[in-house]
Amino acid sequence: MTVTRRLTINEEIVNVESRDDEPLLWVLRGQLGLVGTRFGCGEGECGACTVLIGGRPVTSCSIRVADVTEAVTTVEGLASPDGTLHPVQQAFVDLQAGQCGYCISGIVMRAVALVDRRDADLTEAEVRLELDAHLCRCGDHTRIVAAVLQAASIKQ
Amino acid sequence: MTMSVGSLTRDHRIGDWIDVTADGHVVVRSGKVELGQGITSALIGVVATELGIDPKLVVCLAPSTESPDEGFTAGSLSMSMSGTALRLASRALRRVTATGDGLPVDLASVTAVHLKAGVLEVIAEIDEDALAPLMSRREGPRTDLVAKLTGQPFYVHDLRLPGQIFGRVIRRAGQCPDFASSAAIDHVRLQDPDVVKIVCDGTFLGVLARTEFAAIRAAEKIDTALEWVSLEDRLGVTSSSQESVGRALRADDRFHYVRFTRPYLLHASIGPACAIARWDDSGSRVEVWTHSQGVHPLRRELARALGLDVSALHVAHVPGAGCYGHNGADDVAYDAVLLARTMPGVPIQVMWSRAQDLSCGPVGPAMEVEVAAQTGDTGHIVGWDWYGSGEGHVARPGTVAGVSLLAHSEIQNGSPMPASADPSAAIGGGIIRNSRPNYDVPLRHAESKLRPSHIRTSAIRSLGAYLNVIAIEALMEDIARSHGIDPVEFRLAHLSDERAIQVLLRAVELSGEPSGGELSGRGIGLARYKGTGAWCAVVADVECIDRVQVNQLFVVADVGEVVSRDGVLHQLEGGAIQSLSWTLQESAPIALGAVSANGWADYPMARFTDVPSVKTEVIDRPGEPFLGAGEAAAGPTGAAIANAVTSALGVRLTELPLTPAAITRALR
Repeated sequence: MTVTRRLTINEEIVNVESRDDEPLLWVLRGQLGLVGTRFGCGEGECGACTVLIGGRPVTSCSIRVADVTEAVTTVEGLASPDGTLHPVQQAFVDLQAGQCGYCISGIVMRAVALVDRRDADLTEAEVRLELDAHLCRCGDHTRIVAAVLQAASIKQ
Repeated sequence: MTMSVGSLTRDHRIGDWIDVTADGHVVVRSGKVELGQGITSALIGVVATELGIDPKLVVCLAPSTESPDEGFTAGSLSMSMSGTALRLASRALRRVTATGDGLPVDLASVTAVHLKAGVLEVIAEIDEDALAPLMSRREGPRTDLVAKLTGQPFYVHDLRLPGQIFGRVIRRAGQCPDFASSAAIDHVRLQDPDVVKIVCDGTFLGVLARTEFAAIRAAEKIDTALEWVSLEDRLGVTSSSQESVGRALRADDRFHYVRFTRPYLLHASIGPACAIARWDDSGSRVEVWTHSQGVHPLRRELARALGLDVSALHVAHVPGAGCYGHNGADDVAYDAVLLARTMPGVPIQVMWSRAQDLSCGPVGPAMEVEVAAQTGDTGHIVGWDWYGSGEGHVARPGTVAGVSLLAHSEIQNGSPMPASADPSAAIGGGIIRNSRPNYDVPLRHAESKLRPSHIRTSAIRSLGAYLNVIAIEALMEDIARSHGIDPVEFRLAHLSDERAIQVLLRAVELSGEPSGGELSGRGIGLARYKGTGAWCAVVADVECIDRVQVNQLFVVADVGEVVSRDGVLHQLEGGAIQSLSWTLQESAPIALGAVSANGWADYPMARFTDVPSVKTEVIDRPGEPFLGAGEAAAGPTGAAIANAVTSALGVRLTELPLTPAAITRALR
């Protein structure tokens, strides 16, 4: 029932066993133990399970492992091996963005893609529009937006 | 004056709350659980400040049934209960070690004898006036945030115990499986080698599998293969009616009246309910890992449901996603216990599906409030009436007659789900919460009516306070406008509560001049939560072009003494934004006597583009009792937005949420 597939996850090549219809999310959380990518809805509507595939944000609940052809980055792969946080993570710490935090790893991943793609002139309105793919129930939106803007300005 | 002692009882020893380890760390035991509200950091701050030590030396244990029993983590009471108890226990430790004011406690000198001292006996001579901190405040950084931002295992969803397997329940809200079609279940079992077993007890149905994905797929297949029968048809339950309490209230120029309704509200946490249970090999004891709001009440309820002594259960708290009231956490814990009972020795993790989390857990009750006031010649209020009605605001384990765990209404030897109740007035009430205005108005008549619940309703953040504050504040603004009096001046003319006046004036000052053009408006909301908690004033600026867009919120609160400033600001701002979402967008769809939301598309909530910039301030009152911050902003924010919409449109909208359709209807 399962097929062995080769993936690049956080710059490491790994072999995983997956079923044909198995979304990337469950291989990450299951076999690979990368539980920082979280299940929220399974329908790509809340953004909690967002990872980067080829540098682009993708909800990992809605892509089959079989369809992953580029390198995957999860939230566990952002910090340097020496523990130095990615500038986006650091900005979230500096502004204490995140309450319960269940949504936050997905949001951080999309923010990383946004900041990498567009550092100069990033406006608050653009950040909000981009983050509309994510739900945050604790109401931490204002701090999250501020943290993304701070990360973008530091990178610049 | 009797000093508030929080959660301390007569026989509490210092060591019940605080322990000192051989390597010089302080271990704090609280019964209040971390819900994402930052209580752990705040409690660490209390102890570090009182002992005069570095917060990094203080560790707060996750509550379990070995921690002090502080009931539920609810009602914005954690700081007044646990914070106060820890403050007094720390103060007592300071006394028994004879540490002078302004000096740090020498942890190396703390002995078992010190820790055995009774807290209340030691602090008997302290009076309330002496409760200001003796040391400068020590607020440590939050301990959780880096772990969350780097994707470390943190939630009960992430916990992996040796030998753990995964369970899912097959359940639809308001329906039960018709087992005439159960041959389909065996088919699923045969098809998938990763499926370990299918559990069936009455209409309770679950599947266990070696991998989480296998459990999900098997549950989906069984769900699809089964025939489902509506429980409403079977039980003959009808939907709740929404008729008015039926008061004939005259409307003349001295009589002012407003009637507000809110729909059912969902908790809508981003992570579904989840728990792990493991029975011992003999099947006589069970351990539970849960994100419940109350590990002790859950333990008692599980014992009752299982017919066991409480000593046979150990319940430990592990964080879940954000919790805003009584959600499915207790129910899923019982699901896990029932499924795990079939495999002694094996830990079983159960998570609800998105659809189950939205539709099967308790929901915030619909509610209706009418407020009427009579004014005298000068516009001053001379009489005030309040009528409130709705379903009960509580169905927590232990607060209602019968076992309040969903699966107990499904298993063969279970019992029907008990009706929801309303909390007593002594703990703030449910429907009546914040029904008494904080203004100096003569209350003539107050009456509430508890309707029988057809949908399982229970506590959601601030209970009835949200709608009551909206109605009261709407009436205050409407009367002011009808008399041509500035709404701030009108409020001040009816206020003698100095701390209420201060938050109101500061919020108005902070908000400056409204920016507004056509179809824009400003509104104010003010309340003291429960009449005994935090004061909060909110100013909202809105624009109503084709929908309500809130452009700016200004939130000012007085929560007594502030321990964790950033934590308080977080709670106030989060409470305000959640209230904005309720007020503008949220309404649980109901069909056949049950919530019919299956995914986020069925239950829209505020997203980033809906959320305005929020400016939040807190007025610190060192030495004043802790009052809690989590629920204070809910009512005032809803009120400020509703009033701003009226100011923008010139029409009072009274059916929540204030959706584009509601606005079109009102303007027609």
